[in-house]
Parts: sequence; structure tokens; C-alpha cells
Amino acid sequence: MTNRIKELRARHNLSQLELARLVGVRRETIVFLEKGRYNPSLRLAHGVARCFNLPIEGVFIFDDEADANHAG
Amino acid sequence: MKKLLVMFTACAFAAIGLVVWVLGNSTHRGPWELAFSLVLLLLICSIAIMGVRKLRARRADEPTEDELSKVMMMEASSHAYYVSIYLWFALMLANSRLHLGSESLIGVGISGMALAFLASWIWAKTVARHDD
Repeated sequence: MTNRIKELRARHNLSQLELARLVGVRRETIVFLEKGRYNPSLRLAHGVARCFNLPIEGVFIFDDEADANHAG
Repeated sequence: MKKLLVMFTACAFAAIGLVVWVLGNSTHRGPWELAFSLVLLLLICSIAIMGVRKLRARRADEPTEDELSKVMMMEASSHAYYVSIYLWFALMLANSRLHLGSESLIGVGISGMALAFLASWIWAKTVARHDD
């Protein structure tokens, strides 16, 4: 799963710390999300998407092909 | 805040114990005792660093823990558990040749468990991916 958090954060002129405070998590969590090292819970994904006024699918991209290769 | 108090209290007790032991009778210091005290010092410093980081986060109005930190802690704990089981098994086997005293054996075992957790936690923080 990939995401557009970094791109959206730049568009909204938000720092990682500011986004973390809006969502209610630590800055480290935002760093891990942007690097793709952590798949968020539904609650966190919804919180991040709400910050950008987008649906979850607008922020997080579930790549079927990439995930199938990773699982196989 | 309670967790921070517990962390710093445990750290303080361990540090006091280490200082009392070091300043005590110094005629029976062998390489094992020196290694054990160094490991204990490393663990005390690690706990202190974790506590200071949590305190800084609290002062910066950041949450001291969230879902990612809990996932990391769980993964580090589970990996350390597996390593510790085999560590004790290896120690029991090795003790048949090394003939360590029971106190030394327990000290080495507990130190090994703590080191295993520290290594697992560092791995979870720096290298591991949490995208299962």
C-alpha cells in the first residue's frame, strides 16, 4: 500500500509535526507512514484523510498487483 | 505520567544498586563481573534515554505513545521472548561445561533477556517494516 501523505502535506503547507498533532499521533508515526514502513489502522487512516478533506482512497492507494507480488 | 515514574524509579534503583556494588568489596572483580556491570550500565542508560524521550514528547504536547509505538513494543517484546527462550536453553547447555554458579547463571540469563529486548526494540525502530 502506498500513500500520498507527503504530497498532500506539501500542498496544504503542513509539517510532519503539525499533521501529527492534528491526527493525534507522534511525528514518528507520520514519518513511518510516508516512508511506507507502517500500514495505519482504519481509525488513523480516516483521521489522516479527514485532515486533507479527502476520502481514505484519495490518500492511501492499495496496489493489488504490488501487494500480490509481496505476498507471493 | 505513571509509566514515566515507574521507568525512572526502576532506573534509579538499578543505578543505586550498581553503584553500591561497584563501591563495595572490590577484591572479587573478575571479567564476568565487569561484563555484567557494563551490560547493566548499558541497560540503565537505555531506560533513561527512553524516559527522557517520553518526557520531552509530553512537554511538547505530543502523545507519549500511539498505535505505532504500541505495535513496535509488541513486536520487540515477542521477538525478545523467542530469543530469551533459546538463550536460557543455550545457557543451561553451556552451564554443564562452564559450571557457573546459580547467581551468575541467573544474572547472565536476565542480562541476556534485557539485551535481547533492547536489540529487538532498536531493530523495530530502525529497520523493521510494520506493514503486515
